[in-house]
Amino acid sequence: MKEETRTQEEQGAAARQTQARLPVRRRKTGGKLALAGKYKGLYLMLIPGLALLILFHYLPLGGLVTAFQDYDIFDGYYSEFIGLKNFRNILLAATSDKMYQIFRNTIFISIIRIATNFPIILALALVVYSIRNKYVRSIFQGISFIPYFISWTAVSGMAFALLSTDTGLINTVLHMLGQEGVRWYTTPDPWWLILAVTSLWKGMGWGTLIYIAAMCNIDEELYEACALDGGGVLRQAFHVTLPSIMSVICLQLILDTGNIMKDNYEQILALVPDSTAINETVEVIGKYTYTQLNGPGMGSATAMGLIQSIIGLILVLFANKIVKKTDNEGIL
Amino acid sequence: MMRRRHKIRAAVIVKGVFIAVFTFIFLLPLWLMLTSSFEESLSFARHGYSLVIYSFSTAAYEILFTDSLFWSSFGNSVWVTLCTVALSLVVNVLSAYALSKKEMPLHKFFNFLFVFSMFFNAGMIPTYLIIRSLGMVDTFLALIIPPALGVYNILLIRNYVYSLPRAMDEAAMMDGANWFQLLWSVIIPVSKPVIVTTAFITLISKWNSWMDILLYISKTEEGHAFWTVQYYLRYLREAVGATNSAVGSDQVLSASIVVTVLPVCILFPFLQKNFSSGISLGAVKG
Repeated sequence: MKEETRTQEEQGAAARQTQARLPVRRRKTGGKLALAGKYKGLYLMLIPGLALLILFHYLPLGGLVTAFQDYDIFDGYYSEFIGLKNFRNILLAATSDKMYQIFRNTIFISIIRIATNFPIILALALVVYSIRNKYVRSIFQGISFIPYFISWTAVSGMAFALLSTDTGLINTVLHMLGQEGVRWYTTPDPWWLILAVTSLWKGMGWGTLIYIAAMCNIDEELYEACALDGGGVLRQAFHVTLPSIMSVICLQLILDTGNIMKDNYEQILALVPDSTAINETVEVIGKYTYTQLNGPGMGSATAMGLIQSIIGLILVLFANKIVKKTDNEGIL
Repeated sequence: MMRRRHKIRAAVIVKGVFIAVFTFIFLLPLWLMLTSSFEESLSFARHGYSLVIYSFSTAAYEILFTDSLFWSSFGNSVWVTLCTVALSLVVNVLSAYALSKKEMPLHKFFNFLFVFSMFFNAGMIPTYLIIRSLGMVDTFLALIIPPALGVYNILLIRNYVYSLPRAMDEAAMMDGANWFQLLWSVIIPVSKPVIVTTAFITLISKWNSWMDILLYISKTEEGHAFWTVQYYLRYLREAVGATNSAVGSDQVLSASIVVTVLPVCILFPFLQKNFSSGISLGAVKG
């Protein structure tokens, strides 16, 4: 009797088990729908982000059709399709003064900015890292961050305080030294440097962060060993710090190079009042595009932007490849 | 021994000079704004921007604070910035959590969609055309909604969630919690540092933005109602650059720069703490 009930119980349990197992199996064979059901909540979460992404990043890609049209304000997206004519015109015009200038400025401003900012930021990082006093270090680092949080329009006012012809501090100092003042806002030549310097002022403290984070991971013993061998501060910097963070330095340099085609038109539009006198050195693709907004040149300006984006993308992908080759994780 | 001590002392001096010079460079432009905004106008006309205040006056601030356009721009900046930050928190945290789930079908595809947008964008004109065809031109929507999505911020939060132990939400999952409950009661409480960092990033970049007014708000009298304080700065700056600029307009510009940079300076202690930790959290892991 007892035995029977036990076996019945066992059978029941076994049956229950198979019953319990069945739906699981069914869910598995039920395929991706059921699986997606489990993740429904996650997909719901993606909706707001995806909606904005599609609206403001991917739909505009469709608007790139403008690059292949003779844009007409009234016809909008239905403007006359002219194929690659815009691109051909740009390439033909690239030999003309204006187009040549725009491409040249875009690239040269970037190169000068990287060439000046990169080593100085690295040097600042070394100095910040070598400050042993905690309070001095954190205060100095704090001060170096401040400019990063100031808008380009405010920086423009500050640049004016330095560069203004009659009231600017630089000209005041030049006068005191018995020199002639410079009319900065009508002299095109120094502007590549002025843009590099203002970029440096704004981004310097921020730029050091990544290096300092890397330096904090260096083994203290290496410094002790170097000090035992009689290495001074400079020697420690060149023989311990820099080699230890070489991968981060390379990474940063490669990423910078990938961004050569990017123009900081926000900076230029803010700092440079719209005068034709210095446009020959500060007109870049982004600035030119802005002036074509709602105008007849919209098609060709979009085409220029597309050329810029594509070259930029190729450079970034290329840079990413190199980063991966050097045993770093890469960004894509 | 003597030589080494000399060497060390020389290094300290060089370091000290370096720190002093750079502190001066970092603070000089800000200092010039302060001195010129508090300078008496006749004295300013004589001395120009200078390191010291020759005779003290608050006239520039009085002019600035009686300009109703300044107040409306400042007010717009405050509420537009707060709205953008609030909206971006919702959008970014939700997206980041979903993107952090590697077992989600199409996980790779969605991640690619987000990351790719950082490296290839259509550019100024196609974006403008879309915003115009959405009917957002000359509305506050154009200033609030597009910047609410911050792909970089999403990646920061996502990387942080990646680094959390998986057992954490699996345990809650066993208890029958759904994804939203999980996110709200498990993930958000432990991810607070990085979420606050991203909120600050959005806050600062929105407070400092002015290109969106330049692009999406028309340059007519009606457009003034949409100005933010940064665009007001630009308007003053352009007036200063013009040949027939009003007397003292450069000092009003300085005063307005001081007033716009001030809120950022008040937030600064929080910013410094959060940025250094938050950025190294997300960025080093890439």
